[in-house]
Amino acid sequence: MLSSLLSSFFFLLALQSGVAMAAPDLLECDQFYLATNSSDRCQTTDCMCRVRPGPRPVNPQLIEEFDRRYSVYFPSAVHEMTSVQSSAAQDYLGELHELYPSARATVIAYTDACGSTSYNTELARRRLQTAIDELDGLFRVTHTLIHPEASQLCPLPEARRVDIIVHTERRLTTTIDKIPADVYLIDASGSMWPEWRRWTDVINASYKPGSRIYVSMTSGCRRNQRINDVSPGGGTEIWYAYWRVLDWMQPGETLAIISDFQSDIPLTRSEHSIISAKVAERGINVIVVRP
Amino acid sequence: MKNKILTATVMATLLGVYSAGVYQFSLSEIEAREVLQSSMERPALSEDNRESDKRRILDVVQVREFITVDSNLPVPGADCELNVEESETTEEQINEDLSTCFDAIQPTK
Repeated sequence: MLSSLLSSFFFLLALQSGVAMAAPDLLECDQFYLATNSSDRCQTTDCMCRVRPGPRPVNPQLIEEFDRRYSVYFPSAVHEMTSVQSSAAQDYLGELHELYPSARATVIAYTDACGSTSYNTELARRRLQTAIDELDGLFRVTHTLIHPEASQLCPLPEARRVDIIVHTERRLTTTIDKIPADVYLIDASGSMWPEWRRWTDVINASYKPGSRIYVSMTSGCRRNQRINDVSPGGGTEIWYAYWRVLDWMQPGETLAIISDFQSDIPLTRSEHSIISAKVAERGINVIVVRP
Repeated sequence: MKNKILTATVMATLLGVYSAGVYQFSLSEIEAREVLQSSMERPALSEDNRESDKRRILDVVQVREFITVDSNLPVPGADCELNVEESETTEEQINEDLSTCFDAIQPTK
């Protein structure tokens, strides 16, 4: 008898759940726009796809097609290049110089988090100067940046380095080149990139090694796709992607967003404040690039 | 015999709970249908009434502050914004903006 009672109970419970599921409008109608299920508006998960940069052509002919970022790695607490490193740098950068003699360069120096902040700042400055000296007679260095303690990890060999970035003449590409972000979120909606030439500025940019790149699209991209294979299209859902990507970032990381932010559905004041509060709460640095 | 009575009682109770649940979930649907039905039977509103309704709705919207921002800018949470116009922005301008930007992000370094 007990088993028949239990089975009846569970049968009725299941029926009850079925009724609840059949009335989703009752459950969702009052929800906040950003918190609603993005599948209503986007075929992609969370209105974005994580992509990979490149690939570069096998036989590059133009400066845009080259890997324009040259990284030099140092042992712990060292700021000078070995003769082998110096020679290799001269060979690679010399090749770029022959192709585009009037190009300008940016140098970014990093350290890991071993030692005090003041020591790492000074070490980054010395590494920066080493790279600037190396470029003497090749490229004019128009911008420098020191990024001590780029990561909070110690030891972290990949953070003990200098990046020398040779720029093209395209402004957007140059701007992205110069931002050492941990995450790049690129609005790939159709209205944002009416000309293919402008989108190639994004494709040709040199992204910080080890960074994560996401394209915000309602459809037409897939996870781990090469950015060269992405064709911009669809509506703008950059706000949802921005709000969501913050969940996947660590405190202190930098997010660079490339977008015009002209979404079909404007943000309300409360959504504006909620995003600001989330950024502050998670301790993320946000840099916006508006083409 | 006792068992049969008990089973019947419990079954009746569960059926009652279930019926109440279904009724609760269907209530708003029933109400919505009634409202729709009554509005179909009602004669069309005059121009003045429609205007008056519109004003009342807008008043409610304003009171509840469902006002969208004129523009989405400035971007919420952004430490700095860089405008990159291909024809108008010089590299010096970009450099200056970037320096300001990184000063804002790394004030202690």
